[in-house]
Amino acid sequence: MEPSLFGKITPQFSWNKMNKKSKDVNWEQIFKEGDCAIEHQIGPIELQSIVQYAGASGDFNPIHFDQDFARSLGFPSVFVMGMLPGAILAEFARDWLSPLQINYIKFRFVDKIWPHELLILGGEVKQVYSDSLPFIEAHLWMKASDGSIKIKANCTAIDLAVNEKNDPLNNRKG
Amino acid sequence: MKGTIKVANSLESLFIKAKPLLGTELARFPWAVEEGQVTQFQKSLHVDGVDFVSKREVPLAYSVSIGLWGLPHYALLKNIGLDVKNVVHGEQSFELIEPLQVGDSYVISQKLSSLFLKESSKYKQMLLLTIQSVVIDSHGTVFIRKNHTSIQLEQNE
Repeated sequence: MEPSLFGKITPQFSWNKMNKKSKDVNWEQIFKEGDCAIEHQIGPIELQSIVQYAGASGDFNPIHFDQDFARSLGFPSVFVMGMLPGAILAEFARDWLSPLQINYIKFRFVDKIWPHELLILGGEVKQVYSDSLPFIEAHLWMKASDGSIKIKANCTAIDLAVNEKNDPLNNRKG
Repeated sequence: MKGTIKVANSLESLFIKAKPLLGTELARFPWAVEEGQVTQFQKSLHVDGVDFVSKREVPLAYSVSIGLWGLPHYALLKNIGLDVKNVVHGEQSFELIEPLQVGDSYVISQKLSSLFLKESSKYKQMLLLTIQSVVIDSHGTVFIRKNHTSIQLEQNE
């Protein structure tokens, strides 16, 4: 019987399959528990970005770009699809946590994001795991300028070079 | 009435209709990582200064987002009787097993992995459906797994 493709989504640390990029950086000196990313402000997310994202992602729900439609449902205006700011938050984390590579991320969309809003991105290292397969766990957030949370996320990031070196599958060779 | 999202059927009847579909794999569909699409993606996110395309790399955000609204998924929601225009995004988890590459073709396989009917103080009821998507190549190698929870709201009158 063919094994199922589907399964529980957890960090699996499939380091041996990742792109081989040598990262000669001691990241454990860079990231420590409690470290915070420098907060970054973005926005407002314009209608043009919403439409570009709809085209690229295939999310064509008119509630995100048709003002009349959104108003007919009682909303004050269109609102941004969750995964657009989610994707922005993922890129923010990728940049912050480099040279580590994010291999797992979970988003919770707490509140709607409106096109006029300014948004603040942030993150904090929650735990550094320094065993033979090191990785870090971080919390991420996107909040409005009044401090209310819009998106919460958790992610893990791994060191490709260290994990590759310690990968038992690699060590089996020769 | 202002502020009311009309749902054709009660969420309870939609829940009963959807329950037998739990665990069913939907039709697989192809997904090509096209250069133009990745470029549009970068523009929509204002990710400047990184030349992903010439290195054949795919932005993390692209991998996180693709295939969320594939036709089989859309058809499933419609088939159950959800008002797709009024479905909002609740939660998403994503696991990258192997990076995608620009120019390569993949297949996306999906199933309805969980279904819940919830009551809340803000809404009369909420129907939560989670679709799991798996991105594979032609050899069946798994590149990405993701869960995507859609919520159909039924607001208080």
